[in-house]
Amino acid sequence: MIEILSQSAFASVQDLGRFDAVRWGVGTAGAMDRLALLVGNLLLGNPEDAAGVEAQVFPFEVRFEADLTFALTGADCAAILDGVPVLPWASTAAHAGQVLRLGLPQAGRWRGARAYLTVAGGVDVPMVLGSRSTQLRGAIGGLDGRMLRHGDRLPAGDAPAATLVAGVVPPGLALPLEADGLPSVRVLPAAEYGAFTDASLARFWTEPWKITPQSDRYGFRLAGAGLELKTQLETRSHGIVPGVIQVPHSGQPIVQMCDAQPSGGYPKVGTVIEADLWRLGQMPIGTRFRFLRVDWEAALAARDAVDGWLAEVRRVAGLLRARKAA
Amino acid sequence: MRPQDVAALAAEMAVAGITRLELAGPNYTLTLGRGAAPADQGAKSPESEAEADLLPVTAPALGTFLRTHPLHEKPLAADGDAVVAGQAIALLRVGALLTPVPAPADGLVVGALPEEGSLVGYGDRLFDFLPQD
Repeated sequence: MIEILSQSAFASVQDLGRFDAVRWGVGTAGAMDRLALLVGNLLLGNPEDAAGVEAQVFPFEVRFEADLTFALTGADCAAILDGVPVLPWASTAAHAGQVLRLGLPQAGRWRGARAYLTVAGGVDVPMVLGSRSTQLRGAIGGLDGRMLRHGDRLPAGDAPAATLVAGVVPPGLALPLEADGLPSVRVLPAAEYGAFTDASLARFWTEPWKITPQSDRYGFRLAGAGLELKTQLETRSHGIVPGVIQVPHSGQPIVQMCDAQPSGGYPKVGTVIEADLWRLGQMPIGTRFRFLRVDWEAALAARDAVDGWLAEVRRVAGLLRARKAA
Repeated sequence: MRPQDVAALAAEMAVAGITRLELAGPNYTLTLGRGAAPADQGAKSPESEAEADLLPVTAPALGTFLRTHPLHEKPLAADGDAVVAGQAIALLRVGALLTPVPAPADGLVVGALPEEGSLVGYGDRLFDFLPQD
């Protein structure tokens, strides 16, 4: 069991997401930085889609009620375990009764906004519609379908035979993406792209966009040079996915994130490619970033690059685990 | 086969726990071995009284020696820092993987021997360490 000690945790149980229930109007939920959750599970020898805890308000504190191995990935929060520094993007052994405290995300050489705590065996909450992710809108999954709070106790599953105490070089350093000195995400034009004025579209690609405080797991509301339609559009609500960039009447875009509802009616100017959603999910409020235009081929190549990096982590972790077991 | 390939192969051997590798190409044969005792073990000269109390910290694996985590700007443990047993005081990098070098006891990190970013082998002496009660 893992006990939540923070008063207002604003953390949630997440896995890679709930993708089989979208046709019933159930949003995907899932980790905002899926790479971080995946790497934690890889280090621990868990199934890659095991659930962990996504923390986004700090400090965040838990107590381990039994000996276990855990991993911290995502934002580097200068974590300490009973006063001893814990490596970021690494697995660590803990004893029963020890308290793990995550501080504020560190600027360092790569700054994230969300930290992931994974444990050997995974956070063992019931599967709901094929996933353990917390779906806040429907109040299902995770722990009673809600954010975690003080005193909650999360069960850990049976630990795998061979966990590692090792770390990896984070993807923020291994797969950097910047343009003109700003972090960036790649975007495919979406269905209503051509409905925006040429001047608007030029601004969309060249001007930086800022993540406003009205941004959360549902969506990131951006501030920047506004976008205008050539003529007003009447679109019916239609299916949308995380990454879709909607433009409401204000002209300030909203990027749909993991807790977005699966339909919406605003015109869509583009979609952040799947390979870059983790980058956006880790950008703190206030970040200025750029959209980079790509085509379908480049989007697939970007996904291959992420998959290639994950395959390398999987390979070295597997080799080490095999050696440990031998 | 280029010299850097030999280093890469040696790193792969470390990860896989292979102690001997023989490779034959069209115009070369290569034999790599690891795990042999470091040549200068025992050659340590007792320079001072303090020297006798120092605990050597040796490399638990092969890799690139890093005192500073790739995400950080400051070392995990600077010279003179007090650390507790098991705390990571350096990292050995092989590809994407970082293997922690744990402090052998509660005590002080006196100083590191290899240069930051240099390749170290299994058993190489990494730190002078002063244990404390």
